[in-house]
Amino acid sequence: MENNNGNNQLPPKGNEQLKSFWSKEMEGNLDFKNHDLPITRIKKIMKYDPDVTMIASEAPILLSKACEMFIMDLTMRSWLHAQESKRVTLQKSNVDAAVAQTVIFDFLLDDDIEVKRESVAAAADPVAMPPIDDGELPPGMVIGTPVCCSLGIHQPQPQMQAWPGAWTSVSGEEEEARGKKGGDDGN
Amino acid sequence: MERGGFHGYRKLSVNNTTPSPPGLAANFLMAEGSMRPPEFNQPNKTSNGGEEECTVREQDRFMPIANVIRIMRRILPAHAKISDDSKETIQECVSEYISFITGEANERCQREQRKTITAEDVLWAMSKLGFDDYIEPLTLYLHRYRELEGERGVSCSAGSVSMTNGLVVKRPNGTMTEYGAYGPVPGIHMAQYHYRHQNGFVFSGNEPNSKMSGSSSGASGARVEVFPTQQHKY
Repeated sequence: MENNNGNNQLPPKGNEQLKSFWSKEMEGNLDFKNHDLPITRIKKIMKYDPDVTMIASEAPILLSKACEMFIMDLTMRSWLHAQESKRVTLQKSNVDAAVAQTVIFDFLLDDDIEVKRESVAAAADPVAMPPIDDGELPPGMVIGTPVCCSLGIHQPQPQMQAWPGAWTSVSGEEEEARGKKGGDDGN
Repeated sequence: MERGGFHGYRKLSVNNTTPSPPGLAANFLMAEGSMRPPEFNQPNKTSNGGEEECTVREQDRFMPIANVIRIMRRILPAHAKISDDSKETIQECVSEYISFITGEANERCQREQRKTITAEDVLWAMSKLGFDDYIEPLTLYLHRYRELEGERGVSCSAGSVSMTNGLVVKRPNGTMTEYGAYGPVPGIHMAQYHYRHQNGFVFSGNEPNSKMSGSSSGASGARVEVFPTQQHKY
């Protein structure tokens, strides 16, 4: 439990911060000509499905923005796991743990994470998992029966980490910059 | 729910988990098979120029990693570092996400006997697959995009104009209605109402999310159009 001494006890605000971010983003100046993700590449990926015949021009443009949101959503959740390990380097194990813990990312478990299931479980063991609470986590995470329950990941833990506080707590620990690959066993 | 087409891509994804060189041949075979319907591809590739039509390169299966990293950094603190394997993992996850949403959107199209996947189908698919938090900002984005398209008209780039024309040709009635009568506003309202119905049916525990969305909408209350959307949601 010593890992959590430096963690902020406040509930996670990552999701709220992300929604606030996107709310402001949509009110600002939107550049519809230069997308952060190439539209042609999105179309190609959409068309890998042989059943897909025609795609309206707005669909990949909308998906381009949706992918931005997805990347930032997944990155933020992964970073929260890195914070719990007191790291300043985002590791693949952090991404795997975020995917395993988030219900709406279950579609990723079939392919990318399945071969890493054991490492995900191992990576999850030393990390204190945030509790599943309607008031604290996005409702999407509590819809239906969690597939991840078999991994024993949804364990209520009192320790929580606030997004803004996490920055402050780690800024002074630069020696952790050299992150290890794989799960961090204990301290 | 099993999807034949999407299952095909999953096979590709399985190859993705192994080092690229061993799976290269299989990837090309799968990709070439899936790329066979060229009718819709041809005009796009011609207008875009410089793209290979027969061969799908390895890099075409993923978003450019530089773009992915740039987006990741927008949400991470400045001192954060990103390991190479986490960059690649998220890069792969994005392609998986696109195929996941596309598969669901396409199923809806086929049920309704339509051939073209629209932006509304994409929004519907995301809502059905649990990405409710994404719907509101994306609806705003789509709304503003259509406003811009309507205002500029000829001033848009040639590519955009031709694509818009293509859209009109393929869905003349709906499209004409939408653009002629400033369709985005009523379209979005109806879409939201429809999505709310879907959410009510599929996600019984969605009520807290609605409240959160309402709060978020209130924060961005500068937009008048947003309030009717809220009413539909509740």
